[in-house]
Amino acid sequence: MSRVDRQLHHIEAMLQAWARWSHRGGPKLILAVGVAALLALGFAVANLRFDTSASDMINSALPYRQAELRFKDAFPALAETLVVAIEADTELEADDLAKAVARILEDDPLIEEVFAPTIHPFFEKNGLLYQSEAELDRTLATLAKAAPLLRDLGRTPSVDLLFARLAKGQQDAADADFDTDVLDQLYAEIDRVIRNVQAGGSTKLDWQRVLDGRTQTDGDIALDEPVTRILSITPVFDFASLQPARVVVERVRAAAEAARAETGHTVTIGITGTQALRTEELRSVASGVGFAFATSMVLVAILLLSALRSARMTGIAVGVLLISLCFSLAFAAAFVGALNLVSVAFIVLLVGLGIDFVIHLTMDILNRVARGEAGETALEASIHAVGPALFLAAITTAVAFLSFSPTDFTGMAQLGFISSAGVLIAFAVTMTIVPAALGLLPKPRTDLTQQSVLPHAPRFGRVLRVGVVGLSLAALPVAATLDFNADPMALRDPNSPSVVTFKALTDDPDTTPYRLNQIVGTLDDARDLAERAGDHPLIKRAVSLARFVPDNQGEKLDLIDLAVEDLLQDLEREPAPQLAHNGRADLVAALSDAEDGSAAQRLRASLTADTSADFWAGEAIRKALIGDWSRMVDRITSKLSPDAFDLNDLPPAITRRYVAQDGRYRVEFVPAEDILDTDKRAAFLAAVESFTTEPSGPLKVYFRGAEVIAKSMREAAGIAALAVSGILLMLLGRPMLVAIILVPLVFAAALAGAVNVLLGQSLNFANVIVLPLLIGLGVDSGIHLAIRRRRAVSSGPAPSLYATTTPRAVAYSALTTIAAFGSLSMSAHRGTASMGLMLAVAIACILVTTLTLIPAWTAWFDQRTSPAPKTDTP
Amino acid sequence: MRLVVLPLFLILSSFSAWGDTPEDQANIAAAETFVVDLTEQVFTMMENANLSEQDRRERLGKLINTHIGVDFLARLMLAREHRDAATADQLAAYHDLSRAFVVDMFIERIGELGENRLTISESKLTRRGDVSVRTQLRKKDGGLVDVDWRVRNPQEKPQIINLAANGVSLIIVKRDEFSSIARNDGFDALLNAMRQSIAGPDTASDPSED
Repeated sequence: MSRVDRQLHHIEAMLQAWARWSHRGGPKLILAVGVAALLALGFAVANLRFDTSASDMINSALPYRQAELRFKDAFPALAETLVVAIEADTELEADDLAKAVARILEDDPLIEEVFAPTIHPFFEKNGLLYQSEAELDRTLATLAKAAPLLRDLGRTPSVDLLFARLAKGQQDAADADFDTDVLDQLYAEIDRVIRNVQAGGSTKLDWQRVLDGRTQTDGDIALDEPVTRILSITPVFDFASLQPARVVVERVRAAAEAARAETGHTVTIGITGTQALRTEELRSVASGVGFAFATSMVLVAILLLSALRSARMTGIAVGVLLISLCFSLAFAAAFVGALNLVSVAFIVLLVGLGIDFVIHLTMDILNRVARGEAGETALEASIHAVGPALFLAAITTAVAFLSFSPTDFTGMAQLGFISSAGVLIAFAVTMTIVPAALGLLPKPRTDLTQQSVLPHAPRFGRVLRVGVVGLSLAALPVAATLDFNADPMALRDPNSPSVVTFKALTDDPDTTPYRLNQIVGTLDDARDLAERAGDHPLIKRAVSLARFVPDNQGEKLDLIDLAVEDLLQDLEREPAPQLAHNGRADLVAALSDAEDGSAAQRLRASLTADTSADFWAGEAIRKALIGDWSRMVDRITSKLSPDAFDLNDLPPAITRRYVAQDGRYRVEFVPAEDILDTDKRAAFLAAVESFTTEPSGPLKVYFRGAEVIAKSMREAAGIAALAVSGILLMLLGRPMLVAIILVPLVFAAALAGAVNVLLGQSLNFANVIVLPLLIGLGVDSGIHLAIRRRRAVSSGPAPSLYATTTPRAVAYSALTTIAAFGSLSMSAHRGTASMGLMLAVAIACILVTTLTLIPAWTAWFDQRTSPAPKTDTP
Repeated sequence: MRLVVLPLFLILSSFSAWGDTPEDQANIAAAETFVVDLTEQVFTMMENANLSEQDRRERLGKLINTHIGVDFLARLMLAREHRDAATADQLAAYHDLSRAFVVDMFIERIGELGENRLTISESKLTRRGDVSVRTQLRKKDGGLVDVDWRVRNPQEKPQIINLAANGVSLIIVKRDEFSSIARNDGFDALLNAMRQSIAGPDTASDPSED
């Protein structure tokens, strides 16, 4: 007896004893195990939690994670906020709605703070001082040039008065010697609004944006883009709930609805932020995994029915699977506590893995029973034929799963840990329940070995082998291009509201959440760092507390004073009565000399397009042109009276965001461009890192996380390969046999990588488990095929491997795994879906390479090593 | 006409000072007196048929140099971004030209006002401590224009630091104009534009001659 056979014999002896003990236990043992499983399930339900934080999946002792944690400690208010984006047609409406929402939420006991710089009284009053001098010049020049119009319209103008006053616009410009650019902008905007109302629309003229002069620098853009206001809300999250932000998000939505009813404005609201994203992600993951689990169970049952040809046997197999799951969940609850985005996949994983043992064992038993062997004899023979392979597969798979444990990718290590235990649990449950249920087994009529999964494989073996090897080698360079996407947003359901809002905010550098932070010791350090970094072309601005005290306030206040002080008192006046008569006719006459194609000419056309008196005197055109006039005057009045201020005058809401409780200071870095593109993100991070020691922020987490994961994957793959090889070598004693089992996995990896590249897949936080699984699952098939032939050889003349139940069992095991993971690919959660798709592809590739290559290679091996085996018949 | 203006000014100034402190009232009264005196002098010079155009401009220039915050206006008319971007020579040239430019600008604006039909509508203290004196002037074409005179240090060394016609701030409009030229065509182009403005339209080069 060779060393290989001796090792296998020892394993078999242990398994035979176990099987006999289980068989003697019979239904009572099954009942006891079932009750224990129910208790385990109850324990798991009570204690198992979810943690959807992607960053928590990386070792928290790493320097960048430590920096992140230190930042969260220093500025807790920044870590757990909801970001509410309120979108309306005009600036005034957006402000009205934001104020109403903020006011409603401030009264809510679940809301600690609502912070909205754009509507904060301090910034409304002093906002002009924050403008650059160029911006301020533009705003003041626009206001100055619009002053005659504003003065004469007073607070309650009519449309007719507006037109009458516009008719004097050219004269105003001549009187005060200024150009007519503001007048032209007004012509264009009024023309746009009139045409919209004439077409049945309800667009409003956004006086605020016109008078801010923004259209002058933005070119001839129409002011029909919505205006967004951002509220940063610090709520009291319910961390005892599975969805901590759910109630708060509902409150915010209710507040938005109330604000809409109160103001009468149309509003679109988006809610995002870490907890909102997590809540929706958790819902998405939970429903995705739940649906996938249900689907996979149905598909697995169908496959089992097809494989075992027995409803009763299928029931037993599913029972084994469910019991294994209950114990595995209890194990996870006891030893891990919370499942993360990666480890949650173990539930589906176990469906695929756990069923393998049942398929291999029961298929062989049933086949023997079908041939007329008695139950106990069949059990003993089956344990001899497939038992050692099952044992080896369980051990090697468990070891492969543990390969991530020494790495810094703790999320993956957790999956490996749970799955490793789950595999051993499934093996143990199989070895306990199947022999105990022997008396319940049906007597099948079909010899399953007559139904080969690859009936023509022996005939076309060489062609298939050459084809698979050639294809795998060709796939290698393609597989090498498979990249890693470390952005957690890429995992999430792109249509979930929080993700949609997040992406909308990311599009604009002013609102992008992809910012970086650095904590420094003093205000001077913060100011110095911000000034140095702020000059970098990739950094739009570096913000320290000092930035909130604008420089050159004296000159700015002088300019504001000289520009609008006199206007302020004029705004309170009533319109000049002599102007209020047939203004439209006056304006049409005033525009009669307008150049073709000019804004004035277009306005003249729209003014004469509808001569109905009802239209021009109607409420629709009034609301569109001057509906918000009075409140616009209020806004202008409030923003044109800033006061000089220093650091001590800043609102506490600002100070809290830039000064830590321990007195250190935060510097915030904002990217100059939208950084949805990975290269731009990398460049921005590098730019900030050139000024800082250890910046923190989501961007840093993503990049360093990607590096850690890539490194962990390499380490884990190496460890798994070494460990599995070592175990196989130790147990089988033949390097060549080990190579025969493992080399097809390399080919499968190449094929799977290439297929995923062609499918447009990237590796991400969720689907990286494909690598250890390729080793853990793939080696199973190889072991089953190689050992089955070895056992057959040791028992006498070697039959064709294709003539045993093993290829069929391998195929059905793979199909059940594919079904389990394939069902995950239907999940709305992109991370889960990509994991399902990638793993299904990987298992399919493993099936192809192992079934094609291993039977022939093991036959060749046996021919070389066994004393007198008969060769594999073609 | 001047006899009509003064009593009216005194009556209005007493109303406009309601609610202010005695110091404020004194400032407002001093500012209004300053504006009235200044405009009286300007109109007297403009109506003096014995003066040649050259003499009139010289005398008006002296008067404006004394009563207008020329340096203040010259500084504020140039945005800091352009001050920072300009060379020392360019800044020196701007400094030289800006005084003449401001004087010239005021002569031109006052000249446009035509006959001396001035009425003080109201006056008020601004938040920066100046006094804004609103007057109504009748233009040569008969139209009425509200002109706000911004007076700084009305009791000590009063100076006009801004004018606003119908609410349009002169200094803001000029700053915008200067910025536009400097941004689009460069600082030298701004200096050239100022030189041409000071020299008058007759000396401006005709682009068609190029």
